[in-house]
Amino acid sequence: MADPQSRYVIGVYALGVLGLIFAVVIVLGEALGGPGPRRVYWLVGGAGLGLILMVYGFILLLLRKLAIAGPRRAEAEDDLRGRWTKPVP
Amino acid sequence: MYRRVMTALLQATLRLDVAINRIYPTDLNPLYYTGGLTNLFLFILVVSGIFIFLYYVPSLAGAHASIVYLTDQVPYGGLIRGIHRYSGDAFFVAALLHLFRNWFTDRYLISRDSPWISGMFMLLFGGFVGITGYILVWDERGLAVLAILDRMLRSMPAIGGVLGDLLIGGTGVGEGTLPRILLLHVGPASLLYALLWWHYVRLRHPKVWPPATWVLMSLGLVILLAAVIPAVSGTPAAPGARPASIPLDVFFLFPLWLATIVPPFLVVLLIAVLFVLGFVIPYVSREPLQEMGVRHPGVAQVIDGNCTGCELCYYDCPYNAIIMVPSPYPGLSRAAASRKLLAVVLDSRCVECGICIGACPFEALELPGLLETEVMGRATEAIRVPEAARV
Amino acid sequence: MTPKIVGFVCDWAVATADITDATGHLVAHPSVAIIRIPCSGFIRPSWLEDTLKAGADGVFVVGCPYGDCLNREGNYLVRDRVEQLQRRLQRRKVDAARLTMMAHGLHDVDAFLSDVGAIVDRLSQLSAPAPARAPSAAAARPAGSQAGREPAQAEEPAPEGRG
Repeated sequence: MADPQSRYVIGVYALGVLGLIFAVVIVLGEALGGPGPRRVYWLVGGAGLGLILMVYGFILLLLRKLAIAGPRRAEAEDDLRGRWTKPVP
Repeated sequence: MYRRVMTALLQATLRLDVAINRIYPTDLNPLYYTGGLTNLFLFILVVSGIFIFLYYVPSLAGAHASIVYLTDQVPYGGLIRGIHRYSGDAFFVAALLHLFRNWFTDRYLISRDSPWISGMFMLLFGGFVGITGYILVWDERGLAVLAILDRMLRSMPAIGGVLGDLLIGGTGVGEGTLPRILLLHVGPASLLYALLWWHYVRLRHPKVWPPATWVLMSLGLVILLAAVIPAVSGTPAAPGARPASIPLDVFFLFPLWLATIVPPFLVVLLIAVLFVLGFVIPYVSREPLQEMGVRHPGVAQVIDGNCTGCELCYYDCPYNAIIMVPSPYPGLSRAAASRKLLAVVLDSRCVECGICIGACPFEALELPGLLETEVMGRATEAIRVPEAARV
Repeated sequence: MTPKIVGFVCDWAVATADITDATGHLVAHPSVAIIRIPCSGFIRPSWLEDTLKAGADGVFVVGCPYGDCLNREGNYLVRDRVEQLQRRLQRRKVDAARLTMMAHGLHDVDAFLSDVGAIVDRLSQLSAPAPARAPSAAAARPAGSQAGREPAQAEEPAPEGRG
């Protein structure tokens, strides 16, 4: 149980660092970008934006697996919470 | 035969579910949110579409140039354009996944034909909106798409000519064409929201939006695609010129590509047949399978004498099939004698699931095909059968 | 002694046709009987309680995977009802493990069978008597709809030395 948990925690931190790098890419894209031939930098910034959103989505998934984040209220499920409606092994 | 094929497809769908549920918690399984994902992509389409609309010039001379201006000069204009393009593709993929999943898992029966029929209309209009989007770019591919679409419409007997003229605004491409196509692009897209109302009207708590994880991942993926594979315009359209070959996006424009290699009328006929079959599906549903003999036990019935008007069934019904009316007369049991409200089941909305039976604490609801006495009889029978008599 | 268990399985939850025998009992666990219902939300909590009173050692409800109920909310609703019933029964000293809610899809036969095995093991180790074997069983006979089961209650033998 600890092993996948610690894997997820490391994953969250690693993705956080990755997100920081992508944030820098976004800023660079805006700084270097311009109309005409320099518009490729806008696209680079866009790639950074897309990647950072995917990283955030993945972080949320890992938080879910760590049971730090929970399901939507209307759809609360008990798999990760170990509530007592599950059969006791 | 149809039944065997559908059962096989159902098993395959569920096997996929089980595989995905091994990775994700079940409430994050994207296949449970195919409708929500489609809605998400529609929202992205509308927002990016409004942005593009602000720069688009629907004239023969100005259309191509305005889009090029948007892509090259406007900050992140090319990105927004790509987002519009790829979320259009994603919209269609998600809509098809939604269609197939709900078809294979029988979620169109009885009163659930409302979402099904409205969904088929949305598929039709959505596809049409996507095709007109290609035309609006007004590059060589756009002109080719318009030409093929025009040929397909005109191939229809009797009404073909009228439809073709309506599409182009006359017999040939002129200044009136692009504003018309723009209307045909934006109008049905707005109509989709009216159809969505119809789509949701028979469902309680419809899942209209995916969970946050998937919103972020889908939006991120679309933006990433837009950045990595930028959407570009081809050479400007020149009506009258005959270009050598034009790459047609087979993924989205599959029927149009087909119309270049087989007679257009056959393609129109194929599409018409597919849609008619699609509309008919809820009404020719397959027989209940052997292990699912409990399906369709008859619509829920209110046992009038017991109903106390507590509204629990009304709150729990997933299809809004129970309404509370002022009680016209007192009930029979002591609890029901002083009731103010009475539950009434709307037969046309009941899908015979029995959730109201589970909700009612006063034994005032029954499914005629599976009465409480039947259920308890089976339960006590099961306990009493001695071990030796089994096998 | 193997505990007698009654399970209510909904139409779209795990497919039980291949794993039950002619009398509706599981081949793998012959003391477990399966009753099929249209939706897990169909279950009235009083039925679960009455099944326990009629002599079952445990009951369970199986619905579709959360998020995929064919009728969209049935499994959430019955899960909440089962929890409320567990709380009520706990006040009467009935062990919460006698009531279980599970969610398994049509394909989850293996997971379902292992969960059932876990329930059987757990119930055979419980020390508290099952509700029907409690001394107050005769007093707990409710009025009205239980008329057809009075013979069953009268015939119920003295505690069989369970647990």
